Amino acid sequence: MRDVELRRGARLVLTGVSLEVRRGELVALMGPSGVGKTSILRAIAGLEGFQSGTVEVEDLQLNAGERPSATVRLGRKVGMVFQFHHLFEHLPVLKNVWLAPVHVYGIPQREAERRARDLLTILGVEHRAAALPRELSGGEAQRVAIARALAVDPPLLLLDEPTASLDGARRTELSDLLQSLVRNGRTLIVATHDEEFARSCAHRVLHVDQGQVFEEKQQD
Amino acid sequence: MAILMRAATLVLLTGFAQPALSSAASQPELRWAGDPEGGAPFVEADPTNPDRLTGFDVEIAELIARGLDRKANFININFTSIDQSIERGDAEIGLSGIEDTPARRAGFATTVPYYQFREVLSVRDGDAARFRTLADLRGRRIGTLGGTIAYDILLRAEREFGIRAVSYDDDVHPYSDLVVGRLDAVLLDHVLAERRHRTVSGFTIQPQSVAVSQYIGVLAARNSDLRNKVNDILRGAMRDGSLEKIFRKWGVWNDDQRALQARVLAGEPVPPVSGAEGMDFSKAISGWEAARHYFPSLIRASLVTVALSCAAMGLAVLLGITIASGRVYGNSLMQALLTGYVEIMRGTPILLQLFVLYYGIAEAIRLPAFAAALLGLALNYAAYESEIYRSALEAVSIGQLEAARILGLSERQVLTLVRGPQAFRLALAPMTNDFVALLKDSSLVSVLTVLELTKQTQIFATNIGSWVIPGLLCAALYLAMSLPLAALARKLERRWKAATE
Repeated sequence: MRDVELRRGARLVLTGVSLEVRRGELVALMGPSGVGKTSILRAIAGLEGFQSGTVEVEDLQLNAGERPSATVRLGRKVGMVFQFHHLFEHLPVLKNVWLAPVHVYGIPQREAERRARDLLTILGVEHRAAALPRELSGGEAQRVAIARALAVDPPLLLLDEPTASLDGARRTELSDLLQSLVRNGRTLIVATHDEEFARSCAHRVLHVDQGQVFEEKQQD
Repeated sequence: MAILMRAATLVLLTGFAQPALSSAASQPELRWAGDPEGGAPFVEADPTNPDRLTGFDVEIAELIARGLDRKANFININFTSIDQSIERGDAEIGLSGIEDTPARRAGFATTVPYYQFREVLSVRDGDAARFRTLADLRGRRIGTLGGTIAYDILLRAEREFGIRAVSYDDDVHPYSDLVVGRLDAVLLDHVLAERRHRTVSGFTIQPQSVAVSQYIGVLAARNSDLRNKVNDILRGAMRDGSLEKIFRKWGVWNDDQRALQARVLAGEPVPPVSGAEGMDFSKAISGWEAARHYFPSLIRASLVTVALSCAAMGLAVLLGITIASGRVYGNSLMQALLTGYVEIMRGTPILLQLFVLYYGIAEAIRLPAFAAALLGLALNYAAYESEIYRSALEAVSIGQLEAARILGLSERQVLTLVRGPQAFRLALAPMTNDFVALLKDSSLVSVLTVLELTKQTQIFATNIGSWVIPGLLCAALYLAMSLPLAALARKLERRWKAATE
């Protein structure tokens, strides 16, 4: 991500953000709410157009002014877990997870369902497979949203405030899960205001302030 | 009789002798009902001064008022509702080319007949040689004014000669539809036919009359005293030639009138309807007998209502989805065009839209009545449906759409898999509501001669002179259609809810 400037109306949200994340790296974007963490993720995901700069994900390049057709191109490279989950309200949990594998990637439904169930098991919500999103607790919805994002197996996964609706024990579990994803070759960018969580899992913690990103010390 | 005649003359003389102003002001006004839409020569708003009425019925009303030493006060009542208004007491006497029927004679205090008319067939010039009588018109469409003797004759002719009766709310459009070919003949009073013949060309009035009847004044049965006074005044006007003068002024005097007046003055009975190619109009039928007689036609009319509503709603839903999608996904030009369409359809009366579709564009595209009705209702309701779908589409959170896009779903898949299904659930309740409303709004298409339930009920009510039985039957039939619909919608809502739980 190079020199990205993003404006909403008259307000300058990102003022020339440059950021490089290597394959297999887990990077945390830290900072209080409202400093532009979510906007950075949305710009990378192609959900939000920006006025100048470029975003590159592997061999795909997203230029200023391109949107939202870019989203579909990026879709196969980038997954995103939203702070407010945004599960499909009319579909049960299991179908939320297998919808994209079946309809986008053409995986047979039986196979996609099996993998969806496995993912829900890994995330500890397989008992909620038949529930509707409105019947889930915040923590359950969070984990279903992660399962849905993982179901299409994106090389780059963006997570926006993933710990917002989790308690202490669940936070540790999530940290372990994210690290195992990275070990399997995925690249993760996590936006969070939870410093303890960030330090527990990230290779690198970046601070976001007033629409800019500042490098911190290197972590192992 | 002599005493009576002297009394009548006396009444008349008093009426004329006193310069109405002073004494008429102290008397209550004579409220008389008529329909200016019927037009000249009956009752018409003066073209040069629309606040003033002209016509032979207006002059007869004034003549009667003068005779009663009262001032005539006109009450504007729709032609088909005059009987009921008289019964209600909105007006004391109805005078508007009102026909002499057995039902009126039985249910009201009717005056002596004051004008004799002939029911005549009008056909296109080219058909003058082959369509001379009702029997010649087997399988053909014949139009007339609803709730008239002519309509009753056509209903009987449907059974006897296999013609198709088409009911209109006015006497202008039957002739224009005849000329453009929507009808093959029109059966109406010679007074109406001759008047129309002066302004519309292309049709011929057949000389042979189908039936003969008279115009009368109609009063409530309880007002027989007043009716007797009115009869005296009318007879007086026949005797002294003032009635003839009025009819001559309006160009409708002929020898039939001389014969009628002679019979009335001689006290001979005049049958309400005669001729009618052997049909029997001699007796009035009771309300229940009429209900039995009309019930099959009410059922047929209900089927028209159901078929029309279902087809119109189906079309409105398809169009509505298209319009809503265009407004949500289309470019700004398309959005502006579709918004314009919705605002025009919602902002103008559906009645106007129906008229434009059927009569307005008839020169260019001659839609059959049912097709025009179906299209009119569908085009109008599509505007309302599209608003429901648009707001339902917009009610699905942007976050879910973004989540779907980032999972790689195409815009089409986002619509069909995520946005559409949720929007449809939101739209279902208001859609059901609209369907029930459409079922009832379908009654408006009777202005295009489509004989649906409300129109059939109105004809029924006009013919028996009461709304009680027809009204109850009609309400029961509408409920029989709308209640199952509401139940079906509730069931669908429950099923979709259950399927996702």
